[in-house]
Amino acid sequence: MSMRIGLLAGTVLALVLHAPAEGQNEVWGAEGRVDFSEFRIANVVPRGQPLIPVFEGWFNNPDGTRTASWGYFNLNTEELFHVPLGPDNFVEPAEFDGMQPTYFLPAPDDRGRRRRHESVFAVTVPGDYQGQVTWTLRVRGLTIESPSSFGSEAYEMLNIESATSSPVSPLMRVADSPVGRGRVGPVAGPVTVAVGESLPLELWLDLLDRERTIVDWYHHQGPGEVTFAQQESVVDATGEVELQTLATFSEPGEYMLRVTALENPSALVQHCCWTNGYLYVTVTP
Amino acid sequence: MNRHARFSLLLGLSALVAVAVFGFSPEKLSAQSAGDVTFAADVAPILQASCQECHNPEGVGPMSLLTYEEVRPWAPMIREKVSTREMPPWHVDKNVGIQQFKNDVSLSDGEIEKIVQWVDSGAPLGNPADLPPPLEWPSGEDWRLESLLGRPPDLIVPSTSFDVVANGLDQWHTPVVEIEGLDGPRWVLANETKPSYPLGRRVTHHANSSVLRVVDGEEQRAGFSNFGIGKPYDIYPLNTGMMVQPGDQLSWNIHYYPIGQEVIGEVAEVGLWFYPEDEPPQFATAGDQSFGSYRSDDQEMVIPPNSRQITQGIHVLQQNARIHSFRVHEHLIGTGQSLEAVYPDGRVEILGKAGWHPSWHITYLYEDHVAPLLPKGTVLIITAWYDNTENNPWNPDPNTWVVHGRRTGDEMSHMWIGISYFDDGQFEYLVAERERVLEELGIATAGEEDGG
Ligand code: HEC
Repeated sequence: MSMRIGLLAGTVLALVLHAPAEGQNEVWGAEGRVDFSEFRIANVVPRGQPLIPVFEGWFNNPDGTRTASWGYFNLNTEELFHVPLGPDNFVEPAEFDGMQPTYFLPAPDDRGRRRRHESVFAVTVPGDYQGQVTWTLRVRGLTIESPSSFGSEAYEMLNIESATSSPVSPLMRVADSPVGRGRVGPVAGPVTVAVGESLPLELWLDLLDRERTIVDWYHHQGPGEVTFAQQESVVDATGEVELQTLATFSEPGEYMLRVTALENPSALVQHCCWTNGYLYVTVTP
Repeated sequence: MNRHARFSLLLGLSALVAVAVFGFSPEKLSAQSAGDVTFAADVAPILQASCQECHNPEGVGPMSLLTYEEVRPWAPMIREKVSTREMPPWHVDKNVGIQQFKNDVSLSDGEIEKIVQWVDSGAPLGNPADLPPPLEWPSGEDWRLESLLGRPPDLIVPSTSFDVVANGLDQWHTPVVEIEGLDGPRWVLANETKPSYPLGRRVTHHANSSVLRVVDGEEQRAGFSNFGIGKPYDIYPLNTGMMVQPGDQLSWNIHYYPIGQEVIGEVAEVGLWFYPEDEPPQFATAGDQSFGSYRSDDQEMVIPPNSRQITQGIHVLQQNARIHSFRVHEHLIGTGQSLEAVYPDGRVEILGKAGWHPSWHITYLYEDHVAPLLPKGTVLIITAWYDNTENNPWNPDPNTWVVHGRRTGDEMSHMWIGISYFDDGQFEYLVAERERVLEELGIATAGEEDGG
């Protein structure tokens, strides 16, 4: 009964049983609570929770290559992380390193919005590639590896078209990039801007016959903070549109911005279809 | 007909339904002497009662088990599947919670013992004169409820058509279709979902629908029909129904999986059986509602690699309620859920606990006389457990972090609860009625039991 009251009071609500060290919740023994590790039932909290690299899935490309895609889950609502490329943030084999984010937003507090950042980068391997690709993140001494699962049917996804409520990826051009679509969309730059100056961000989209598109800009890589004049815009239009906004940077360095064009949030749950674009930016002092 | 008479008529009807569906009376079997266990005298009646519904030439089971000739080659496999309780599919934990269900197909320990003995003694036929008369099984084209309710559906609502690819990833079809053919409000007594036969049934992983109604510009939704292996229909409890009216729509959620053969123009149908127009039921049901098994505000589905985990969703009932069914929903990592009630007076009761098996979507329909009556303020606790280790045979990759999503490799976890809500007057009536029925059946009432 006191256990039940404890449950209702919300103190201990879940246990991870027989898990390896990093997977454990509160573990109890004769001396009482013996392990205070990270995973509580209330696992989305202001601070102190891990940052998790999440393998989202893989898909076949028309040219015979295959692509694996990752997102991240920052389970903190206040804590954001900068983890530069290097020993704490790397993709192996090394030839696939470099596109992963270094800037990790906190989980949004509001419940209606999905908290995970899905498919933020992708790695394409040759058709005859054997083996897997792994993204490793180390934050506060906790190392988490996220291997791809190429070949596993349960993790296969679509990229350009699907029979879902967001059935097609729009076409996208970032600045002067070629047109791209899907998770490995267009990549542009580098463009150069000085600290504190406004960088115009130009985006061209062919939305096809989608009725609504949600466009978001994100700080993907780079030190300091990026401020967008308009981080999100909702476009109620079909066909070709051009969008513009401005970004400013607080510190010099090499940056990458990411832009997503999503029809509706259920595209994320369904793993299709939307488009990611990337822009390299060199910020001078 | 007065209220009580109708009540007992319906009670009788539902008992009839239970017997007609599963037609078994296990006591009959235990009267047999041990010794020579034969197919004709002992095993055939069990197969008729608990297996043939699916294992007939047109059923969902992979082989027919109607005759000795058909059954004999499978004897060792049958022994294994029944003694591990993998067959018949019934995943309620027999050791805790309420055990009386309208659609219980599980075998008694005695029946399992019979089958095991029969196989171990060489699976003999015995005396053919002992064979029970063969049963007629409905074709996959028929409505299953037609034979139980004595008439075809009063109204059939089709989905729109969909082309299922031969090969590739799963597909979803989510049309919204007007319910046509209603002159005025009608009360649904039962519903059944039927994909086309035979191909539609093979490609349909599940086909669910909700009733969509716009009231004062606001969309209201009530979980209505469900189809998944093991579960094509719903019969509401006595004197309880769901009202549909002109202008209502059915919002479908159909999940197809390709079978290596293209299926063009697939249409699923929902059949509706109504209460007589001049005898509407006294109570309305909210249908199937999805109760979370984790907290939506500060808990996310994040299951570490090579680990086991539990989550818990806590729900306070704002109104008096009666639960008539529950159905676990998880994907590949979830392995079961329990449903627990903490009553306002402090009693704690496990209402149900069931394992999860990804290919079965079984709705556990409580017998009317045990369907939990829950006063307002009752707290429902739904616990779900997950096994992301290699011990879980369904786990596609124990080294992967598992997060929420719709794809089979992502995880989902909620419990569909068939529930009706009542005002205080209705609830008092139902509690009194329950006590009366239990007394008639010679069962102590819930209030006198130690629930804790
Ligand atoms: C509700 C439908 C249903 C009922 C009732 C049912 N089965 Fe099955 N059975 C299936 C389905 C579907 C499969 C194949 C999928 C699976 O194994 O889960 C199956 C598989 C089997 C298999 C394994 C066949 C193989 O090739 O692996 C055996 C043996 C079996 N059933 C025996 C029985 C027996 C004996 C009973 C009754 C005591 C029974 N089943 C009741 C639907 C049913």
